Amino acid sequence: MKFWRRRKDEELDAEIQSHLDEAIRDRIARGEAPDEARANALREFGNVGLVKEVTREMWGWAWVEQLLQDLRFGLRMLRKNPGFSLIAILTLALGIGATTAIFSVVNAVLLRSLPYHEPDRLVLLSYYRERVLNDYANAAEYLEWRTQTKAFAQMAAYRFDVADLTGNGEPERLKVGYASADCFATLGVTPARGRAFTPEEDRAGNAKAVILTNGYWQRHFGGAPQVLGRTLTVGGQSRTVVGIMPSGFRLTDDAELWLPLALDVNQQLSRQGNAVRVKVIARLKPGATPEVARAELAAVLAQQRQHFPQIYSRFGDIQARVIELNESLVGNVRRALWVLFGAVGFVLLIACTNVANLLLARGAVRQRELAIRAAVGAGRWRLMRQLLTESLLLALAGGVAGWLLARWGIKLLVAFSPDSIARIRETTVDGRTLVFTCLVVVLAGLLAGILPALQASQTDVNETLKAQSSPTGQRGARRLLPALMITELALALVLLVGAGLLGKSYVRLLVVPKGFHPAGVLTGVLSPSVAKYPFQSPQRDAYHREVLARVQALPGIRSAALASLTPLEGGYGRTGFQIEGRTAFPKEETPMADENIISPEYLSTMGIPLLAGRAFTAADNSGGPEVVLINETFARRFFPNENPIGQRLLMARTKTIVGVVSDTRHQGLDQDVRLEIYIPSAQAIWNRNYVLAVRVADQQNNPSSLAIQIAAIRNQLRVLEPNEPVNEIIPLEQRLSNSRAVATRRFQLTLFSVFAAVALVIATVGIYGVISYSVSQRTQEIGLRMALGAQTSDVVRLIVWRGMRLALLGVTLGVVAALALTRVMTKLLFQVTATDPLTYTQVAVLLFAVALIANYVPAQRATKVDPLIALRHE
Amino acid sequence: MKSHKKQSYENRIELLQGTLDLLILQTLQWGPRHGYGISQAIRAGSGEVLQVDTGSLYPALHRLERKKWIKSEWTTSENNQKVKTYQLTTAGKKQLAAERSNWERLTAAMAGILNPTEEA
Repeated sequence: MKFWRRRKDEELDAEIQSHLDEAIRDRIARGEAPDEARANALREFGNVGLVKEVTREMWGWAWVEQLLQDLRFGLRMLRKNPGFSLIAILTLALGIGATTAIFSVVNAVLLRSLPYHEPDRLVLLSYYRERVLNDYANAAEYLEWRTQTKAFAQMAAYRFDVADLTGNGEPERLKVGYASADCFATLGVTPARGRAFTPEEDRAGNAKAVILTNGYWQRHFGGAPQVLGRTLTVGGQSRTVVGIMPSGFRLTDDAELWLPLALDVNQQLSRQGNAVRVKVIARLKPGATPEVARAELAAVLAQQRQHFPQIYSRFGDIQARVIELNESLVGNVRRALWVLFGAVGFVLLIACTNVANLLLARGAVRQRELAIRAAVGAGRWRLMRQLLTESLLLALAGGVAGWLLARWGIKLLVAFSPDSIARIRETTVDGRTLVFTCLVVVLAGLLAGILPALQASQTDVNETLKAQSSPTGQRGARRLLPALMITELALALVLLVGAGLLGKSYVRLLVVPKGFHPAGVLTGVLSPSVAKYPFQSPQRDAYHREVLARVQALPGIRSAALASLTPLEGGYGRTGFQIEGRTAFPKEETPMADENIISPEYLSTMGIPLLAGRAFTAADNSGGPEVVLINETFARRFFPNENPIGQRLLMARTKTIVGVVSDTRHQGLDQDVRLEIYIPSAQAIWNRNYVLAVRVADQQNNPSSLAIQIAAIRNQLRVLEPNEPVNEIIPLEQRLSNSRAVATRRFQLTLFSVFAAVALVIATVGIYGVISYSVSQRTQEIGLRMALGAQTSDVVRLIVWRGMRLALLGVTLGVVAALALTRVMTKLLFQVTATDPLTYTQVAVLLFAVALIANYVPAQRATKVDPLIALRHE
Repeated sequence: MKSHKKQSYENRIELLQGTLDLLILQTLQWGPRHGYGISQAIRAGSGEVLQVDTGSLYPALHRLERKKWIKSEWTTSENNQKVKTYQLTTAGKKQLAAERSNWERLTAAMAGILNPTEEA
């Protein structure tokens, strides 16, 4: 502004100078000598400084001055009513802070593009197989896509695993990523130091390079650049550090180190031996659409099915999938986040409504002041501007406080967020968040201020000034206050219903029959190095036997067992089967069951009830007849009217059903129970890693004893294999509460509950304020009624009844809005419908109770007024 | 504290205001002019009777510009000098018409009062 003023000054100088120049020129033209001309011109012009000054006065800084006036006045008003200002600012701070915090999460997870080059052209390729859990590709498929498609500029594969880092002090088990040589180039990311893998390093048997993530480099090497060229022993292989990734680099999952994928191309393409499962990313060529790419993959798939019918017929329906990389990361949380964002928007609305309430009530008190202003010439617009300046000031102060609140809230949010929300850890306060907050501040200021400003600027000057005493409230305010109170109630109801529905889902989820007793059970993965203990080798079996023997021998341990499926987290072991003596299912419709390979003690360790037949014993070994257990769902589906015991299943080998066990939710609490068969570990023909499950004695089931037991078990594992890191062993109950189904819902529920609680408090305060105000406006009427003999109870009833009629209206409106809005939550709920009548009833009753208290207290207080004083009120 | 001199300027502005505005608008009717040009035109047009004081002219020009009756731009004069020229806006033309008719009514009324016998 100063700058602008200076420019105008310079312009004025130039204008006057040009005036003088023209005058001098004229005079010279008329024959005056130059010196004389100059002197005469100056004399004729007069006092230059004074001319400038009086001219400058014409510029009119009216709007600036008025704004400054409004600001000064607004600040004075806010300082003069510290209580009012504090409440309004705090209310707005809560609304703005919560909105900002959730927005920054939405921004990080949904809005900010992935930190790769042109991320919207990156796609994830897979085959969807009807009978397996998730989308993936086999390495052979990836290799064939590479040569047989045209839609992609680049294509790369990667996978995640764990690997042991040895030879460097304490052995360490790390999450590692395996990436093909062109993986980072496909993403458009180059290592911050060093280089990416070369095609030579990506060849099977030649994978002797390693790239560090920035995090690992910082933690273990203190960010020293000399680490390039050093050797690390990872997975029993000595490797040279060739590069360090930039900080923040991440590809769908966490990894500490990156190793070359190094596929054995010929072996994979021949489909002999183990198929390597990979994730495949590709960059679409300019102009190529995902649809074109999908059609290409489908064409390749048709050929593959033709060449390897025995492999592809096992899976039932297979479809080529091309998903945007970003969509594959956040697609599942998008709805939940937008619902949360909507919820927090409601909190903001309630906060604004409440401040509008406060301003309206105060507007009534300030009516006389405003009338005087109007009388001395302030226009309607000028009055509105002044009042809006005040509400914007409040919003600004609320915004600053809310911003601090948000920064703290974001830390809390990220700390408590479940892992299932991809990228939430990238949440930061950035420029976009700042712009968003500024917009919210302006919006909040206008929302809260516009009605009171409109209202106050309509003040009837004559009537107000004629009134002898303090104003008795405006007709308009009387009309608006109840409307705002109804709005607040309705908004709060919607939030409470949302929180109620989520809460109920959560409770339902926790009481879902799990089919096992998690209390007192500890679990951990056993993954002895494959180099020393190859899969399906006698050494590995001996290792597992030794672990069980040692753990069982520990004091305070009731039983220990092994299983191939991690409880609640599922696994990949699935098998097709036929039933002996029945018409075979056609190949495409072969039923598939989850296959859980267990040691005999597993059922008793986990507390899985045996419903019929017998459990496994030590006799069920490779020498004995092959046996299986089936779960209840299996029995019901295939043997509804016969005894399953003794029936035989045709799988890779023929196995006899010896027992039926209760259904368990191995795949997650919110997943349907699937067909499951149990196979004794001694008869398994393959396995990967086992989960060790240990049940402690009942008296040991408390946190400190469990911690001691965990330490003891880990110690045994360390003694048994000193050169290998020991995996984490945690209580099954902890695994349960960390599981995706539970943790995600808990996160949503917590946030929603906090929002609903804040909304309820703000709304209660607001309703209380409105009723108090309207009661105080009617002191005289109340006094008159009392003087005429009305009983206290009559007066209270009258006031409360009026308030409750509004509450009824608000609750009704809220129910209608909630019925319409909670539909978007359907997917977040579990065993609860979005229109659950009980939740609605409970929330409505709660709000009525709150409204009743908010009405009753001020009503009761009003009747305490001495009728004489009340009557003199005028 | 305003100087005596400044106050006298302001008094003159007060006295001249309506008239000066009318004169400026009228002068600009014939095309854009700069400040010096306007004062010269008024002087010449009145047969050297009216001498517009710069202390009145410039405030008036800036005030009229703020009222959007005239607008200004920097141009080059015939003497090849950078000057700020003013020209009439549409609103200014309307204002000119209105002020003219006011002026005519005023002079007629003044004439009626000053020369009652002649009228009768």
